[in-house]
Amino acid sequence: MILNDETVKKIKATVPIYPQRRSCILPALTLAYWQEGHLNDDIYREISDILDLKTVDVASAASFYTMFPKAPVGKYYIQVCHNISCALLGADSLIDYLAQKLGVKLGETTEDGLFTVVTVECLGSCTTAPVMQINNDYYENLTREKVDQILEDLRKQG
Amino acid sequence: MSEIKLTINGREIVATKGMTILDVALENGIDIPTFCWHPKLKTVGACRICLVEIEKWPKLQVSCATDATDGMVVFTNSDRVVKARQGVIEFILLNHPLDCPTCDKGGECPLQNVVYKYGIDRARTIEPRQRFIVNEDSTFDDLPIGPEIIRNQNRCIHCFRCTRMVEEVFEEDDLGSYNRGHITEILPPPGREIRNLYSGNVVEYCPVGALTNRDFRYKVRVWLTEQKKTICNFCPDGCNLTAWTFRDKIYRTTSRRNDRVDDGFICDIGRYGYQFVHHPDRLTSPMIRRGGELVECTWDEVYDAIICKLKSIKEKLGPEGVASLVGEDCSNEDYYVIGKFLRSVVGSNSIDHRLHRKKKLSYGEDLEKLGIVGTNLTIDDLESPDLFVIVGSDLHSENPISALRLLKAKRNNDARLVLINPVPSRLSRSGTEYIHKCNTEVQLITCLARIIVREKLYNADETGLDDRQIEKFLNDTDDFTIENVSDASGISKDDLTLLARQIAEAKRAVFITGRHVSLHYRRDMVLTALFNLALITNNLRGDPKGILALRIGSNNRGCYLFGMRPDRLPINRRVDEKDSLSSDWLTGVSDRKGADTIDILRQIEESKVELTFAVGTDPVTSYPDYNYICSTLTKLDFLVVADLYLTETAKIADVVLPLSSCMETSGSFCNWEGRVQIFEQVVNPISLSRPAWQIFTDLAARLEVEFGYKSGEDVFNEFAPMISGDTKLNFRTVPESGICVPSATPVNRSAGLQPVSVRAPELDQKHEYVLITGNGDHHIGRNRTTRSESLNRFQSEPYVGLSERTANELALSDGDLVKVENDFGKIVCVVKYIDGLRDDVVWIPDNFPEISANVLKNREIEIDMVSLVKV
Ligand code: SF4
Ligand code: SF4
Ligand code: FES
Ligand code: FES
Repeated sequence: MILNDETVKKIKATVPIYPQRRSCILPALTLAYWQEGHLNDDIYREISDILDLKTVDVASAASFYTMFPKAPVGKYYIQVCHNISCALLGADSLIDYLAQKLGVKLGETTEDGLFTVVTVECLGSCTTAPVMQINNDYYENLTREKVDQILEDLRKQG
Repeated sequence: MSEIKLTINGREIVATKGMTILDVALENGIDIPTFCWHPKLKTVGACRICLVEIEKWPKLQVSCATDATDGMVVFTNSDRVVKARQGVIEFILLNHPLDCPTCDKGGECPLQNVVYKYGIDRARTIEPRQRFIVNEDSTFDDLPIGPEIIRNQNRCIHCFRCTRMVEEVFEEDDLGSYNRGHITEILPPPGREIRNLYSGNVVEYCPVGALTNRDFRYKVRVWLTEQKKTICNFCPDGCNLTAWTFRDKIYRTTSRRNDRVDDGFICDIGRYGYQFVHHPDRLTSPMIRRGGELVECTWDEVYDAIICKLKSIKEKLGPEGVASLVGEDCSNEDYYVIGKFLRSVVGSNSIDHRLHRKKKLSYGEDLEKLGIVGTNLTIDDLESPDLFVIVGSDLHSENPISALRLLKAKRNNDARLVLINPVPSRLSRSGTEYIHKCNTEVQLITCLARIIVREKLYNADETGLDDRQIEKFLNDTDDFTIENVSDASGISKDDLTLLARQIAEAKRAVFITGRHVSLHYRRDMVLTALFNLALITNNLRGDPKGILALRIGSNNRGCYLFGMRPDRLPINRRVDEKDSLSSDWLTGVSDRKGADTIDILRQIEESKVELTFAVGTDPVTSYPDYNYICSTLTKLDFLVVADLYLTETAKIADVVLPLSSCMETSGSFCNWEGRVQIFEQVVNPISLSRPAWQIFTDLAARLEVEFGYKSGEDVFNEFAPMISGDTKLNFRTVPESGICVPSATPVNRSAGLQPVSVRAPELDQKHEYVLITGNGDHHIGRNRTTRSESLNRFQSEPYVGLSERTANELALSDGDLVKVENDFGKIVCVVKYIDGLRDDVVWIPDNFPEISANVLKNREIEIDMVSLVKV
């Protein structure tokens, strides 16, 4: 079992909330993601066992939501927006800069296991473009300098 | 239902409220293209190709999901509609590879046809198309996603017919859609394959070349093929098939949708089974034993040999010295002519198709009196009950397409499925299954009836059961208390009570029995117990009746209909009732019962029968006593075997006749409903083979009796009036729905509650496990499906199924070799864990040539017991 007792308990607790069992899939995936930091096939199977649902439904819902990483990622999961507003304000070069600075390609994790960079679609914060999300926080109105600072701070925190 | 009037393309049309615009259009021959919509699936309105214009509605609407209303004015082909459809097509084609020249769907592709019709001749985008690369070196991005299914995701248009069908109609879980938008992919769940018993249907329903099957792809262009109407004869469902041929070879079979029978689906066995026809094992010539060896010879030689023997044996022993055993997969025409030959030309009534029985059963007279032999239920009737109680049946593998009707009832009227089985079955995915200790069916069923009576959950007025009868029933069955039966059957008291209440509460329940009951050592008693339960719960009222006893053998109903029993003539008339049938050939037929299988075999031992025909049957591997059948058949002076292949029985025959399959002649089959459906000749007979009806017509001619049949059709035309009561009916005028031949007797409710009793089986106490056999995945029977390469891709090897616990106790794990043995024989085979199997049961799929479970069986022993030894 990958999921620990607490996660399993929380997943089970979602059952009475919804009229349909299938509705528990998203909360369950989220809980599993919070525990593990990513999702995978074994987790889908565990969730489907816990909820008595078909694995196909769990796996297919998880795959729909690209914001769940499907393989282990670094401690800091950097999602940079490359959609239209951010793109107009230089997201592309910012992405290149980030990747170069960290010495990784998109989707890869730095050797120290700290950072993973991926691109995502609109984060809904166009007014403060360019934008990136690191774990649960937004970083806005980005410039190269700001990026340097953010990375440095995070490195310090380790 | 209220009537509405609307106008489509200027035409006034009357329709029924509740129909969609698309329904109305299709019903009136107005063409609207569709991709995601399919009549057998729930509407999703996802592809938007079916857009139509409705007057006073600002936007175009999808006709598949818009109800037609009174006074609506609809245009299906206006300029606006055409333009919008072109737009939809442009979107669909954005990422579609348009690789029509190398796509196997070409020529029968709905997408190709729609593009052709609406004429989009260029793309306005320059971006590369989304590709799901499987192979960098090739543009064929073909990915096998199951034993038979190949996926090319590039071509998929995201209609989701495939995944919806698997989920909605089959209630299976081996296909899903992953990711989203233009990178959506159709795939089985992680680490699995699509391999459900209905998987081939996704290919047929996919409107593009995204899903193809290994069997058919790139073998022939569809427009070069000819299509012939045929009927599947692997199980008694009788699904309608189209056979696609090119240069006298069958390339595939697909569903020829008949809503009354198959509802537009076929199982993989029906789809890929046809490959047995062209298998290199087919017999190519008649053979005769010379100097101990079977050698090829001409039909003349083999006929002369048979006639010569026939005459001498008849002279010596009288006509009863000749007998015939027939298989259950032959055509009605074969049965009719074999019966006519044996009874009127030879003069013997010793003919039987029931080779799987060990002991003499009653001829079903008692059941006939109760009216529960045969059925007048139709497959359609399976859509209306709200409860199905399945007893002793793996309906999923025995009657795959009928099983889907139960799921349909579940979908449409919340019907429940309850299964009471000795071994777990696949249909448990859709219901609740109770696995009971073997041979406790009678107690179980009776106990349920007792609970209902004691809890007063029955309606005395409607069932017509008075207190005296009920009192007597309770007294007579007082051994079957819930405690006793729970102990005996292994089903908990709570479950028994729950089950009884569920049955009592159902508005209309149907009790379905299958293989395990049909082969049960006390079949009649199990059915009698069910009669009581159905009577008490008032499920025998009106028509159709609530008990459906299904049998194995694809044309077993045809065997009944055409008198393949020593006491029965065509249309199941008793031999002493022959005058009620007006047919010339019956005049001289003896009105004395002939011998049944058990008596034929005994008479062979006693040298009272010296010549036996075995037609389309392989008793050496199927009769439930290998040692006995071998020693008995070798005592025969002359054994004539007619079959498709050199079966184990053929190997000990004196002459072997190559039989043509049903694809090589015309004729008819009778499905479990009693529906006689005709099939056309699809290809010419393979090599020198001949259909059974022809062989027996030829033999009759050599005895100076001219039957005069030139085709299966001629035979059909002779018996058609007999079975239909319509003197004008012939092969050409049979309706699409076939001819329904009513079952024997109406159900006899007034018979009242029947006495039931249990009798311990005769069994061998030395061995601890009960042997139960059944069908392997994607197989039925031994000789044909195992000669289909496609079906063998699903399973081709036998195994010994054990519960994990039993295996572990013997220090066996999955894949280890185990010896299954008893006093009669032994089998060595690999172990497979079976979920939910009882610890005292050994389950063997009895389809594969490597092992034959009948070596472990003995006809004196009612329940086969075996021991297990680790090898
Ligand atoms: S594979 Fe075929 S049936 Fe399935 S979604 Fe794609 S186009 Fe539709
Ligand atoms: S359900 Fe039976 S008749 Fe229908 S296709 Fe399958 S094997 Fe053939
Ligand atoms: S486009 Fe980047 S946040 Fe909206
Ligand atoms: S057919 Fe109507 S939306 Fe697809």
